[in-house]
Amino acid sequence: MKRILVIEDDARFQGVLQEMLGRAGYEVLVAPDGKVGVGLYRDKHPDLVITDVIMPEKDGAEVIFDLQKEFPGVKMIVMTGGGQGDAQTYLKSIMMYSDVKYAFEKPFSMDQLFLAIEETLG
Amino acid sequence: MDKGDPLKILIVDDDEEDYMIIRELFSEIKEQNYSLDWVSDYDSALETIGRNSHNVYLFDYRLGGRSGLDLLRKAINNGCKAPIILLTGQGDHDIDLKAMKMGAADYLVKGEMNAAFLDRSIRYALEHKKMENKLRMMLQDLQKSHEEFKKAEEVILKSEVKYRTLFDLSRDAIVTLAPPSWKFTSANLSTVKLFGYDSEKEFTLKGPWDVSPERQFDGELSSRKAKRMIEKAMNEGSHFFEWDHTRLNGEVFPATVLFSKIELDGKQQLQATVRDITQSKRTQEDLEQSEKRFMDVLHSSEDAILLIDDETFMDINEATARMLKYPNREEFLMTHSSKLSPLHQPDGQDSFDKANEMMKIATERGFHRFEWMHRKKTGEDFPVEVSLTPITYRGKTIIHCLWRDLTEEKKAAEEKQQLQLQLQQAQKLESIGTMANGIAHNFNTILGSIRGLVEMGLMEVPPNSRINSDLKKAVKAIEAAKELTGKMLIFSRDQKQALEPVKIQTVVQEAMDLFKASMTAPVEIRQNINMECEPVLAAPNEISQVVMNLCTNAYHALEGINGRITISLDEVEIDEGMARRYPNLCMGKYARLVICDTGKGMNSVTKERIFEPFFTTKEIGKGTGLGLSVIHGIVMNHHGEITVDSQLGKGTTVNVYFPLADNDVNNTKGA
Repeated sequence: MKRILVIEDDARFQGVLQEMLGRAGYEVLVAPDGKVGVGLYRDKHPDLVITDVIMPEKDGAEVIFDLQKEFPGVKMIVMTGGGQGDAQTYLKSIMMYSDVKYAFEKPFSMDQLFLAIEETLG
Repeated sequence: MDKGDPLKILIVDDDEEDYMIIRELFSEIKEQNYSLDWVSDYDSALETIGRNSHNVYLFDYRLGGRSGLDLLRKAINNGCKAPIILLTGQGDHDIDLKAMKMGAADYLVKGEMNAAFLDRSIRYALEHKKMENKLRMMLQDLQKSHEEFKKAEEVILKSEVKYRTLFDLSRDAIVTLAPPSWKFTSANLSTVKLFGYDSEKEFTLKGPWDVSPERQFDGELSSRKAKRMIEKAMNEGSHFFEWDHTRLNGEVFPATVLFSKIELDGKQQLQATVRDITQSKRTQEDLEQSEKRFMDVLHSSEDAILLIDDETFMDINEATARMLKYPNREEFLMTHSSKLSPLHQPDGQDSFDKANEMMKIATERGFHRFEWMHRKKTGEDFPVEVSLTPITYRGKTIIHCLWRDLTEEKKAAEEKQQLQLQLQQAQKLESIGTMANGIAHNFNTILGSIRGLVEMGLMEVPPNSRINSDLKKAVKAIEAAKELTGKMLIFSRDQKQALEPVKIQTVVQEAMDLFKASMTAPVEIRQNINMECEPVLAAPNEISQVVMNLCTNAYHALEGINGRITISLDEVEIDEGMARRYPNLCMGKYARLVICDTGKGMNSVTKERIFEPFFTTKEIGKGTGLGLSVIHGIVMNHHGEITVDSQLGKGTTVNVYFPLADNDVNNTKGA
């Protein structure tokens, strides 16, 4: 069973994702912020990380660059609720300078997410 | 002598017989009447003499126990003025001499007397006494006139002392000179002091040329000129002229000299009054210099300065003519003052009346500053700040008038106000944007949950059921809501703009103004923007963002440093070398924007990474680390290049190149 780490500070959305991914047959780990998320990754080595961008402690961009540095080849999907200036440019910049292939703007479609997960996991 | 007026004679003789004989002798005298009295003893004689009622006294030498000499001495001592004749016996020659020495008028030897002899002796004695009295009176007169003379002499002496004192006390140096040598014959204290000598004596050894430099201010020999001056004074009675003198210590000083011809001790001499005019000359020179300086200041000033005398312009400087667009001062001065202002001032007052009122206020208060509308030769009206100050010029009160052109100031004030409005607007938009961002973010996350839940529900219901159709409509509604939050974000989001030919100097200028207005602490900013720069294919907002961002970085680099930011924009030609060094640049014309600061600079490691996203040297919360990467993206979008030079501790220079609109690079690289 593939293991997915969800890093999301909004408890409700975190729960929805957990439920959704669980129903689809993934083992789901959750973290409320980037710091806890990176720690959890080190412990459990999940197959995929889905991370929010704007979060307390450590934001999504930092999570991505830290993990990428520590664990080359780490698989990640990024999602954001927008805000903080130009969300599109921001996501684009992140994608330009990292290995992240998929970025989603909330509220996104479940089907698209599953497609991206399958694609990323290979 | 009148015969009817008898001479009173007192005879002192202790022998009555002798008296009788003498009386007999008197009666024989025809020419003169005598009235005789006789006393016989010493005491009665003295008493009678004390009454002083006789013209002549005859004393016998023998007077009982006393002698006629005793009586004679006593009588004269008592102040007897009448002549006394002593009668002696024959052969008393010693007594006769004694008597004469003691003051007797004559002596007569008894027995040898006769009437004629007696008469003559008495008359001689009287005559002698008269002469004696006359002599005494003359002597008295002489003594009196001698005393008067002495008194007069004292007065003269006193007045001489007085005049000498005056002479010495005079603050002017006064000397006398006498021919033929024309050396000084006297000099007062002031002279001695003025020339630095110790005493008058020392000074009077000199002649005028000895206390002068070799040559006078006009080059003439002092000795020759002095003689000429003396001659002139002697011919004309007086002469006044300027003269250079020398003090004992060699110091030369300017003076005025007044020669006056005087007569002293029967000799024609000259009196000279010498006045040191160093101070007044210096004062005069200072005055001349000060006036020259004043005129220099007036004419070299960049401010318009006018001198107003009785409501007309006495003088103006070139700056005044320039300010009102007159070709020169002369034309300005010939222009009627009514043409220099509009008919009415902005407050509706008649310009002529108001001008007079302003001058009056200035005169009363000593200074007056106010705003005035003036009219240029071109007819254009413009605001001026006028400062009026009454000053004394050549002993007359005139008004010094200073004009300051307020056009630029007023424009700048308006622009500043405009800018502040813009800034306020920008800040307002920013806060709305921040709020919208926050709302949109939270809203999108909630929508995300709803969508997730709805889509999970969809998987649980049969595809053609009514619930399925309802849930699908819910998803559509969620997408509509997402669109709405997207619209809310338009406030803050940079919408992709099409590139168009833009005069970026204007954009750069505006961005600079906005940046300057946003600075919390002022730093020195220099701008060197080529306003003739050809257009660039650009998105104005993005260019503005580049300028703002780079300036903000420069500003932060100056934190705590007294430094400077220089912004320049110019056109450059990229040559082959440059094009090879920077692959993003092609040969051709570019606009180059340079932002240079004298701030803390950075090391080469930092410099390598600055364009990486999320790289920041700033504290958490102070920067996203995205600024320069966004700028980099923008520059790339504009087919430009950005280069950085930096030295730790010295500063940073960022060069941004944008190809000009007519540069082929825009076509070859495509959008």
